[in-house]
Amino acid sequence: MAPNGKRQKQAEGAKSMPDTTCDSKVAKCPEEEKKPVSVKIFHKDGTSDPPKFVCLKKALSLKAVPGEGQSGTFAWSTTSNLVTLTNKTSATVTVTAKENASGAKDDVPIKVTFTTSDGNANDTTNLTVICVKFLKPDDVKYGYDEMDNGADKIHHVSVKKNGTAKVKVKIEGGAVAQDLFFTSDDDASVEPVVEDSDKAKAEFDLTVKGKAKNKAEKSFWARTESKTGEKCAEIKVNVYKEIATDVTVAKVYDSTKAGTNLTHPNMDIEAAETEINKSYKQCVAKLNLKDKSSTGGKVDIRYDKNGNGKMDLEPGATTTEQTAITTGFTDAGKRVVIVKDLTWQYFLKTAAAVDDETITIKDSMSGYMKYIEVNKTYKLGTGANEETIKVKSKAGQTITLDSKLTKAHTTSDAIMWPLSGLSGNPIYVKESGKTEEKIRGTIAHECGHSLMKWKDLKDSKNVMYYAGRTGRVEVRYMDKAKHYEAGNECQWDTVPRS
Amino acid sequence: MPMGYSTSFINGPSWRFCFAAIFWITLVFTTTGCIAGLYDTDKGDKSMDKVVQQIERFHAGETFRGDTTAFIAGGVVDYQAVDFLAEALLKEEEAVSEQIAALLAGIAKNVDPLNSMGGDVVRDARIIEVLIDYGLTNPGIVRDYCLDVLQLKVPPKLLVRHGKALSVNLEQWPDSTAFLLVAKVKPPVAVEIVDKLAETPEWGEEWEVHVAKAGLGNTDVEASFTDAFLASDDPEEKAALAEKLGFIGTETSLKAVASEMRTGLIIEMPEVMNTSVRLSLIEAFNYNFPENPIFFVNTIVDDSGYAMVETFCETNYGIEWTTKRPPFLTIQGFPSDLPMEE
Repeated sequence: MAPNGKRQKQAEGAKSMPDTTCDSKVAKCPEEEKKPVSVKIFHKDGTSDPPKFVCLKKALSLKAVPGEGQSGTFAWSTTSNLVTLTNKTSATVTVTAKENASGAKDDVPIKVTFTTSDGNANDTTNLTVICVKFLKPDDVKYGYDEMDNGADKIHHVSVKKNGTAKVKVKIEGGAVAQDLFFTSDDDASVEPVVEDSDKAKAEFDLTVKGKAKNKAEKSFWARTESKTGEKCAEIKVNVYKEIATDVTVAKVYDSTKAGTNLTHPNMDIEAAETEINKSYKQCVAKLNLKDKSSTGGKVDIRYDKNGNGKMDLEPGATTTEQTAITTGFTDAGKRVVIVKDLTWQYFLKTAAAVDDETITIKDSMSGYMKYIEVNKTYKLGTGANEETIKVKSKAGQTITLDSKLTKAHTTSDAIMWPLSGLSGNPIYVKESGKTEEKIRGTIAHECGHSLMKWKDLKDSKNVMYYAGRTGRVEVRYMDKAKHYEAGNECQWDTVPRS
Repeated sequence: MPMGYSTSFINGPSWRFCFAAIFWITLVFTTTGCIAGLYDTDKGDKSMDKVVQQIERFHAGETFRGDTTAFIAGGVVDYQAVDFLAEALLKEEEAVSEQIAALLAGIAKNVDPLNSMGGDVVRDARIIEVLIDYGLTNPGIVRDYCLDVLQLKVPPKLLVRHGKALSVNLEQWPDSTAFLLVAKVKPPVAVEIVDKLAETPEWGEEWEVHVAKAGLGNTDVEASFTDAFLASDDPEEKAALAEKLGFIGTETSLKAVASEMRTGLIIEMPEVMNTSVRLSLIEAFNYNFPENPIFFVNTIVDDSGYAMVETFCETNYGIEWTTKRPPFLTIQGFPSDLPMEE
């Protein structure tokens, strides 16, 4: 705290005055030789300028310093209803700001009256009650989490390592940027910068500069008086190394099977990347979506071995149709396969005859029986052997049907579970019945699982919402409840950054 | 090192002409004519033209998306274009330079036959040199990009001759990824630099610094990583520790990884997928031997893929198996996008 020049000189001047203490036994003390009663208001340290600003709901102390050798009583007062005073009869008063900011600069007069047996003196200093808020900027470069604006929740902003982002600062009460000090807990991780052009503004965008750490969370503070002064407001800054992951997307058809033709063979993968990264950038990550086709079109892979127009997958096993695709699609990183239609085939363990009321599924699929639901209908078999069954009940791999079978089925027949997509690598996406937006949402969601290690969440606005793939854009710092597991997840911090 | 022209790539109606003129005039004056004989001027013009056009597109906001056909002809890199790109890497504004760095890495990737086999590797010596000599010259996002490529895609043996430069670079601008890079390259000169930085409050507690110390020969620190890895039965923790042992990349750390290659641990993400921890162990080897196709995880489609990796572990680290190989699993996905949704 730099001492106040004027006040310091006054204080020193008072101290250097000749000692005028009277000794009535030696000589008569003339009235005119008495030192006038004086008092000055200082910072609580007793020597520095009194502070000019007090933060909303925060307190500061002021100290009244009388002239040298003078003793008496103090009475502090204010005409402002923006603050309360405590210890009003002490040399040091505590000023506590209430819940409203000043209407104008210096509109909170704080007066001290110092009374001695020889008279009294007054001094007044003017304070400004300020409210400082860190807010979401109009243009968010990476992420800004308002933490659902919960009480006492501190906002978070993300910034790329060695990159910059912005945070809006709003100062109410009459102060401007240059009246405050913006500091970081650790300048080696993140640094706040007020641009010269913003120094006289009460509302401006503070620059957040990320430094050379791959992952760090630090606080920015708005302070009064000095870089170590009273903290008025806080925001958490998360600096992250940007994770950019390659994802190759193949829109696959089988040129020998008309049923595999795609509805969206020219789906714009670059446009999909742009949309997906609007979500991923929030946690300083991005997907580099690459079209497997150099022309942006479909890729011909002869996968439809049985000609049913679908790509057949099997729980817990790799099918020949699957192998046809994976052997021709070994690009490094994440792979996405979009096909016209998908099925998940639950093969029969034993042949079933006409009029049978139960069927039994292969042993290797025992871990997947939960996906076959009671009261749901499924297709059993293909072509001439196809019929619709309704599940009445199930026990282990044995399914009891709602009505008798009308056709005989061998162990080559299967329940065709209507698969819409399958996680993993590759991710398989059924195109039929989906808009490009939904396909995009599926890619964003599944890559979130595989590449960002995110779990399914209950939050319906989140990219990782467990049930739904369109219109989900948020990626959050704030802990959100997981859907399939206990506990919460902070998505920004979950992303592997090495 | 940079060849010595000082103009930047500028915008304007005749900027390409101006650029070309200034470039060649400066080149002539600064190289006292001796380099003129080395250049096929016509070819150089074409190369520069391609570079100028590409940079113009980057200025217009285009990002590099993997197309390098203009810079590779018949499987051969246009190195004159690479030299021009190197110059531009230094001169351009940061956002454009980042795209140029991505283009250079893309050229190296696309010319490498391993990448069509499932690899993700950068081995072109000239481009590696450019990424170091031109890409690491200032702290910022361009350096970050280059550090990432060097750390994640370049085989360690191709970086050995750059060990001193990388160490000095770390000393000049300490950085989390730069610590991992010197751990990978293991230049002796880096030991003192890392030890010194490890004593600073800014870096002493960062895990990357501990990895660097272990990678550079601190056996006590190395043991703390290997012990934790070998003791762990938690799938996610074991996978994460395997990654760090890969970053350390010493004989001891890789032997520890090799010894667990028959782990049956599975990372379960409920209702999403089950992933074998073995894939993480293989990734640790891929990090150290990115040119070896047996470590391309996307090519593992049956047990023979795991068998080849196990043979590598037996041959190179003397591993003897005490358990059977677990049932085949890479990633087993579960249904996503359930039919009842939306």
